[in-house]
Amino acid sequence: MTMILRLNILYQDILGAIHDYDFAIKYLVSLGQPSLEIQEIIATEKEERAAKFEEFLKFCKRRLGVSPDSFLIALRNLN
Amino acid sequence: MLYLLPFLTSLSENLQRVDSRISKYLKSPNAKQIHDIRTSIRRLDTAFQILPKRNKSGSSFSEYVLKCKGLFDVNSEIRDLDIICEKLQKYPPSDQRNGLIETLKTTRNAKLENAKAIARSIKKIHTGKIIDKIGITEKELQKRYCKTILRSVSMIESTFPVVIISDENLKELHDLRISCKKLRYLLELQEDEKKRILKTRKALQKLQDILGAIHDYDFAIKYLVSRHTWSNS
Repeated sequence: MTMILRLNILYQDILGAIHDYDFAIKYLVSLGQPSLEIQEIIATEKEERAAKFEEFLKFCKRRLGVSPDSFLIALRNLN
Repeated sequence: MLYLLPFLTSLSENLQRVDSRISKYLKSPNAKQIHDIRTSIRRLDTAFQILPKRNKSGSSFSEYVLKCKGLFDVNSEIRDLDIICEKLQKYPPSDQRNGLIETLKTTRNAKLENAKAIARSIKKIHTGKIIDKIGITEKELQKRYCKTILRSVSMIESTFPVVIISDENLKELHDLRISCKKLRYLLELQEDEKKRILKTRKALQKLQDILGAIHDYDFAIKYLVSRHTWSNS
């Protein structure tokens, strides 16, 4: 897998989605004294965000280990 | 390795891309145009950041990039509002949900008017001679390119351990995402160069084929003419 492709998966598919959840949750929380309905929406968004974060951790475990396929080792080899 | 001429070509292409995307954006500022304009500005800024300090302050190029970044920021806010609307629309309709979506849309439209005004002011800037004013040597470019990549890599390396220990380090997660994006665009500058080399190679191959065919015709004609002369004598 090329470095550009790995960076795409990481920042676009995973970190991008987490950013969107964070922004939406922050906005909904900022409304102050949210109704039960909005509280439920916030809870769902937080659950989905947690699942995405798990995906991020799995990506890290797969890609950050000491192996020829490691993302960080590939990064170091860029220099 | 990043070479000077392909780099300047890439900068020039980035400028043209931003300009043409601003035109499309002004005609129809939909989600696709917002995405396209943001990526083109990011690419331009990444290449611009490689330049030495003397090119990055007080120049017409820096003024142009600064305005583009202003447009980028407002469009990022618009994009974030679109994302919240999209998320809210997944949930069952209710007065409160609908009210929220309406408020978000009103804010979005106000920001869009601001963004369009910035876009129009950028369109007025003449970009024709911006590239000609860049003074950088090949050696300086390569040094700065390596340094910029190194900075991105070290940022990614130092942020990873922080973000994986807790899901609450929002700032570090954001920084990691931005560094990954930047590194991708930096690496793509070399990819563009590879594409250009491949294109030149294909053009040379085609030229070689044509010249080869002409040579074959010349040889055949010469042979036939000589045979004709021989049979007449």
